[in-house]
Amino acid sequence: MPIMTVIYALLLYGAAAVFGLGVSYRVLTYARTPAPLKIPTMPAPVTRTGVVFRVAREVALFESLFKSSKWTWIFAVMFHLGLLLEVVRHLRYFIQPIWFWTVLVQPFGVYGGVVMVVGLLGLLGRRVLIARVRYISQPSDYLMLLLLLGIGLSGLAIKFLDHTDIVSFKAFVLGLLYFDWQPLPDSPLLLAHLSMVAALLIAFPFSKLLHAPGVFFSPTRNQVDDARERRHLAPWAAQLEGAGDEV
Amino acid sequence: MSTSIDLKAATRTFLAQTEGHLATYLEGCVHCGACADACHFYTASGDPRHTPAYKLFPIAKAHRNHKFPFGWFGFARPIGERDLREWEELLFDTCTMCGRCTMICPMGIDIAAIVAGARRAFVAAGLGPADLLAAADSSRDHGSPLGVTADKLRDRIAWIADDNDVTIPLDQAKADVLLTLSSVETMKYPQSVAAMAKLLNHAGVSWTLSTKGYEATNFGYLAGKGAIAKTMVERVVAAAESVGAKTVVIPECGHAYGVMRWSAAAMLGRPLPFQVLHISEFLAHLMREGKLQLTPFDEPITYHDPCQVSRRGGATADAREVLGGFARGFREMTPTGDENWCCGGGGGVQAIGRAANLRYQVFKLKMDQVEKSGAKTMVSACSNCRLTMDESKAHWQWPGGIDSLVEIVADHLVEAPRKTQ
Repeated sequence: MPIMTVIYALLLYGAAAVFGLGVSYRVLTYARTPAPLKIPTMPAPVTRTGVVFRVAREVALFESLFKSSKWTWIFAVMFHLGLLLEVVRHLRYFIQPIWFWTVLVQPFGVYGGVVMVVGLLGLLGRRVLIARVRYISQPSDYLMLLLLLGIGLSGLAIKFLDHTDIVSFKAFVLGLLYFDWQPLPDSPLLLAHLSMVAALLIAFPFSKLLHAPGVFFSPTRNQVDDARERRHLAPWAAQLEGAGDEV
Repeated sequence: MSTSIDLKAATRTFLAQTEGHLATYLEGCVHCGACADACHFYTASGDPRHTPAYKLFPIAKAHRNHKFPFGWFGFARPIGERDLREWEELLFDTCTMCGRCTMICPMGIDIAAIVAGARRAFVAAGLGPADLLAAADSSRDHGSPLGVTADKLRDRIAWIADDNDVTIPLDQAKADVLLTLSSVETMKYPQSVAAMAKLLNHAGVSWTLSTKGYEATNFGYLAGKGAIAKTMVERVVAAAESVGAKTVVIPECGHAYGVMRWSAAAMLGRPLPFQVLHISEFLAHLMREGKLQLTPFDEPITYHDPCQVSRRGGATADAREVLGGFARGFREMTPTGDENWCCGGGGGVQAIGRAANLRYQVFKLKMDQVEKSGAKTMVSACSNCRLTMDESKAHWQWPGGIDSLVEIVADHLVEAPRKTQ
């Protein structure tokens, strides 16, 4: 077994573990810390179903961002949509036989990569060129953009400049899944691509990338407008009240 | 102000807050900066430090340093004195906690709530604008931020009743409605107090003021002093319980409504034994019941939405319903309702002397809105908005009129003679 295969197999296992455990821990924390008050931004839906639609619009269409800044919205949608296409497209390395809809997106997936990189360049350009955004940007803001750009560009380079043997790469990935390791194709671009993906997975639970699961837990968006009909009582507040009654 | 800063107390208070739901917010912010355009302070000043997301950096820093491995390995620095000194001004002077930024935040982050939390940490560290903190202490010690003690209230009410020829019940044994007052009204806009009395009497409401609990404003909340905030709530609840009030009416004061309507039960630790209505809501109720007879009013007027009543209170429609009943010249400004611009003085900023110039800059947005609407007078349902705007109006020598909802309604009661302007 080539040493690179061993190193990357361990790296990817480690990254997946950090990502899986880290994000689960964060999501559990979010789910267990209910908002102390009813604070939906108005106008808010008055039914649970309405709230599902509201959150769906936020997640799928970035409704609030659209209201606030069209340019940021365009770049954000390009990046996230491109990334989504790429993730779906990359499923072909993980499943055998490949689902038909995964086959269906393959030709669009290539554009997905380009769109994603353009979106990222837009977001990076905005961060660098607009003085007020530059002022509030921290190193991690740039780092995440550069990491994602690196992943996108190395992926495109593998596709268009230095094609990797994707059949043996798929064998490597399936080998990881079934604990039956297969050699990793020897391609510097692929190694770079995988290293950055691993770095992104490891950074995910400790960075602003947490906005992905976090947006679902935003009380200003996921609450029903029924504060006048029923009193909102967070579990911890209910406990306090119980204690108060006994005194 | 003391020169020693208690960093440990600040950090402890920061972290106590992020144990709760605030962590979700702090971890979810992507620093996109979209909130800047929604903030009246940024829009007026163009200073990137006024970007709402930037105001959250110290509390986010404390959170990262203690909860994330960057901190454990020494990559994330703990908050220092410099952080606190720089952000004291940003958190107290440049945020009215109006919540406009949350409307457009892609992550729906309730920035106003985090600012309120961060203020508590600054106060724990011994920081915070002296005048705002003094207003909170005065509320605890004298009953009101402007030193309106129970005795002074009695004098003042007697004078207002006499001067305006109106009956103002004080300390009645029983009443359905307990009216509270903002000391801004008691001391600076006594006509508002008289107007509310006229309206309640006209509608035949059983109501009273109480020396046990009369102050609606809650500077404990605004200054980040939790114990004082709770005391202020307890006084009003005690007063309401002693007269058996089913309804507590909050006067023209935005944050008073927000605190009593939405946060008070959590501070008190039990459900409120009465319903809380803002005076604009209460007037809308009376109007629906046909208890207000008003003469038409044709002057072009518009309505300034107090943030804690409309955007964060949910009573956006009520004042419009009341005005719609008689003000034929009513028109909206743009943006309006839940998206209306802030007066620049909410969240305690009005009480901070050094923030005056910033407030004047913010008022330019309002002048522009009113002028474009074609209205001659802007009506508000918050005496704090009114005071802020009156001061800014004087600074710019702006010719537009600023009036209060209750006064303009009381002036058009059928039986009352019209006030000559």
